Amino acid sequence: METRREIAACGILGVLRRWGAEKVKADEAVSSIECVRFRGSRYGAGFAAYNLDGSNGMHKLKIFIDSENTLSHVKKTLKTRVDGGFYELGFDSFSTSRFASWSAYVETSEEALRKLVDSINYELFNAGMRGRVYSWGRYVEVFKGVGYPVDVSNMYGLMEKNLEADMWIAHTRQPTNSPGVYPIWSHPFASQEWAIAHNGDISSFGANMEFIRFRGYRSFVGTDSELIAYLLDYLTNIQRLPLLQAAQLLVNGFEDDLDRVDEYVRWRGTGLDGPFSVVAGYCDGEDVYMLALADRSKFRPLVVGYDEKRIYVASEEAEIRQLSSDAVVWPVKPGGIFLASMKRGVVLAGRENIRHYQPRTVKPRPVNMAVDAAGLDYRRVNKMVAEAFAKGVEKVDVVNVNGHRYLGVNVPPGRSLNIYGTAGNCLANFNKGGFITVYGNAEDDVADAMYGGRVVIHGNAGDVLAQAFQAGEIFVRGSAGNRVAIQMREFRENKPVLVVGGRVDDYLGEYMAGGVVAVLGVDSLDSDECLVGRYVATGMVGGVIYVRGRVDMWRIGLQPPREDVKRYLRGLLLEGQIDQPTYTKLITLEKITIQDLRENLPPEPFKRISKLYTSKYYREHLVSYRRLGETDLKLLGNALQSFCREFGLGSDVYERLLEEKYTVISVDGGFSDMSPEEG
Amino acid sequence: MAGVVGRQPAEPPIVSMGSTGPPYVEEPFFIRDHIVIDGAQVTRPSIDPYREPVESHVYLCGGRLRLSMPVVVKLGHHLSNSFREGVVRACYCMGVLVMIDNPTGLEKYGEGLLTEPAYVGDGVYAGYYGEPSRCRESGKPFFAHVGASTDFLWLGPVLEHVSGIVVDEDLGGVDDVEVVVSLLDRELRRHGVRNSVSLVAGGWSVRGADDVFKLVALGADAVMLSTCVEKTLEPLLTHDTSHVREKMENLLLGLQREIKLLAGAAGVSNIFNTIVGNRELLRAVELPRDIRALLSIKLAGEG
Repeated sequence: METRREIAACGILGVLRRWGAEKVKADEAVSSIECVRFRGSRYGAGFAAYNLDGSNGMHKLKIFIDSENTLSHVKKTLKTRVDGGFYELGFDSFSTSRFASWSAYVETSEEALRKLVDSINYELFNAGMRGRVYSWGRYVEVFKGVGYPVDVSNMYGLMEKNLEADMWIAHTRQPTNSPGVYPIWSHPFASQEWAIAHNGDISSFGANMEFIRFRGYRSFVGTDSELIAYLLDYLTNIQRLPLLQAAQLLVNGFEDDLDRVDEYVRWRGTGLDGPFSVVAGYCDGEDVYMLALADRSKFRPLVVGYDEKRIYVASEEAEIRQLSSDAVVWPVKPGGIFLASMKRGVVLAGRENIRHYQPRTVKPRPVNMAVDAAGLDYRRVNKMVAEAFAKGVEKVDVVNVNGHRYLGVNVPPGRSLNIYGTAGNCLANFNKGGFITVYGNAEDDVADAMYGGRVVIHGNAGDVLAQAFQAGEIFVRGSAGNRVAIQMREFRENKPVLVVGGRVDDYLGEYMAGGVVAVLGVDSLDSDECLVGRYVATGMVGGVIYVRGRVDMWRIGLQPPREDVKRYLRGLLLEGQIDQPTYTKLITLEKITIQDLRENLPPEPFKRISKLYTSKYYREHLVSYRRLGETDLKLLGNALQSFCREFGLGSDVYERLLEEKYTVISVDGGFSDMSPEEG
Repeated sequence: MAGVVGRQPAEPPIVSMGSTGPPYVEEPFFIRDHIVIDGAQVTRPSIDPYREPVESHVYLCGGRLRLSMPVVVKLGHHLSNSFREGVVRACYCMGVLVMIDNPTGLEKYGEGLLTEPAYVGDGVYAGYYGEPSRCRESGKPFFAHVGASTDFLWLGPVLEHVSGIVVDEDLGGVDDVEVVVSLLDRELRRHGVRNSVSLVAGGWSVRGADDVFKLVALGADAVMLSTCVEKTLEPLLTHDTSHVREKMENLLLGLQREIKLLAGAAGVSNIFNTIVGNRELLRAVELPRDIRALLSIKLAGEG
């Protein structure tokens, strides 16, 4: 058999019904997570189902068991330690490995059961991993095993039994640091009414472990994902923190954004560091909650959305589209928290500016030779497209696209590929000269290392748009996510141009070395909100970025921590290097940039403190806020015109764009033929 | 370590794979020379601190003291006044705590000083007691100042009164500082006071950012530098206060950058939350099983 090397990660999903809407069927959860099947592997998948009305008052204890001996040991423990008794439900899955799942209803207090679960798990683990309690909620029930999501669903007969839930959490797994051959390590991981599915690899694992190990949790299977469930359980159920505060602790915000230092210190060790996107479910007996967290560097994908009936969390937009063609979908921002509940709807959106992710777009009907991607694997679709081009077809339409990866990597120069639907990850990577149009949204990593041709997206693009993009044109009608245009470069006459019609998140133009980027906000021309996130153009060495409207200086480049700067200023004051009014003026600024210091400090103290901002690798950004001049128009004029034409924006919008003021960002020596013109 | 003078002071060299470090190439002297840092991997990317935030601050004493990096500098009384003043000024500006027995003349930098209790008052913020039982909570943070010993009998009775512990190798002691730090960290966790009682450790044996990183990962909130500061700054050759200050600032800036580079290489963006006590980031090379058990660190290659 041919062995294939797959680029995979984990896939996560959460679907929550709104109060009054019908419940979500197992079939729907399975079909949604299965459409990113390629993110996972046969090494593990799982589901958690929440039902607010499904509780009979007892906890349902579910345990993986490796033998009759272990089972009788567990039953003996239950007999002696459960005061209200237990009701055996027996085995509910056939065994695919050493382990099979056994369950029972248990009549006892939550407090007693929590201790019991810990001690059963502790004993079974120390006896050589004989089994594990993996679910013990009243409202939540976990189904997990070894296989793809559909295999695991079949193991438990989820679809056969036509199971429904207020909320489903689902996961498809690509194991990294723990075994994939046993169901114990599959997701979701649960603790009390919490169940979580996670994509990532947490560098704070050891620190989180040190935090929790003397707080009533003794048994760990050694994965970061399990710890996340324990942390949420501990913070909300033992420490009684509000959900939102627990979520804030886990996403581990930057010190500069802290509200209270004492709380930050008190809960040190609960923050998650490194890459993660997490979806977590919870039920407090009155409402059902869906929480999603993105790490502050946004090293993993996370999109959310809603329609009239439901609210969604997913790794890829395609999972949501599988269930809802009209859902509003947006990416969670770096370090963002998304919270929704069945009765209250979306409580926290995971980002600001959602309307930027709802561009007004057209959806024309396909007219050319069409490939129908519905239900087909992405490899098959790409093969069909390649065959059509090989036959000499000039324009190929692919319809019913939903998350199919690698589309547009095989378009010959001068030919066209039109995509109808949601284009999957890695669209138009290495595109050399093809014309690729998406009528819909594109997911992550569009046009990576593209070196010619044209990509036009009528909706939004995801994270990491135009990485290492080096020639050609990319137009996005809507907005894009994190790390747009990183490492973009130019060579001689090849100057790539990227125009984004909406807004972008952090790290726009990180390490950028050439080319032209414009962020326009065409649907918010009358608003003065900033169209970019933080850390714009960090490590930039060339090229130029135009952002319509004013970009705060602190968003450009990497700033030292505010507390470090304040302390240095105080030192200068104590040494008598600066006077009190200057000191007071500077430390009361909300953000202290190097420009503020240069303007306010005498040369010697400025030279001293500027060490905090600069380094051997530092290049000062040249930033101006102005109307477009002749040189700018030479670079950008044609692109703006064809952007407006492409998306039917009309000459009034084009004229307006020419009149607007832009923040223009470049670096010293990177863009020498530029003469600033004050407007 | 990055230089303190020269054409590019405070700039750590960036190297690629391969190491000349102990234990295989250079001779190992301490337990931590048998400890390596478990770097980032494909699923947990490294972070470049020159382009992305890696936060090196730590808070001591429940948040009452902030350090810009996990470093405390100790100054001995044999050093000249001008030298001490230069170092204190630099540490103040750079947000690093200075442990100094007698702060006379430097009181205005008192919020950056840790001194004998007699001087704690209007200007000076924090103090230390060589006799832990004398520690009394008086509104100001007080540290117990002890040698490197794993005898923690004194700890229980004073836990309610101390804001922190300084394990000072320069006071002597029969145990390795790595072992003391690791056990003391666990002891504080067992008592449920780890986030309110700070742990500072170090002394003559600390040589640079790698030592700081490893001791922090074993459980210290901050690491104390003593001899290495004197070696680097050459107090006998440097008399001018502002020259000392500049060299010391460069030393600290270089240390901070190196610590951030190490954290970034481990895929860590926040030292205070993520590295303190995170033994999972460390692996042992040719370290006996009993010592590994005391430190709670795995063998290199272990998952």
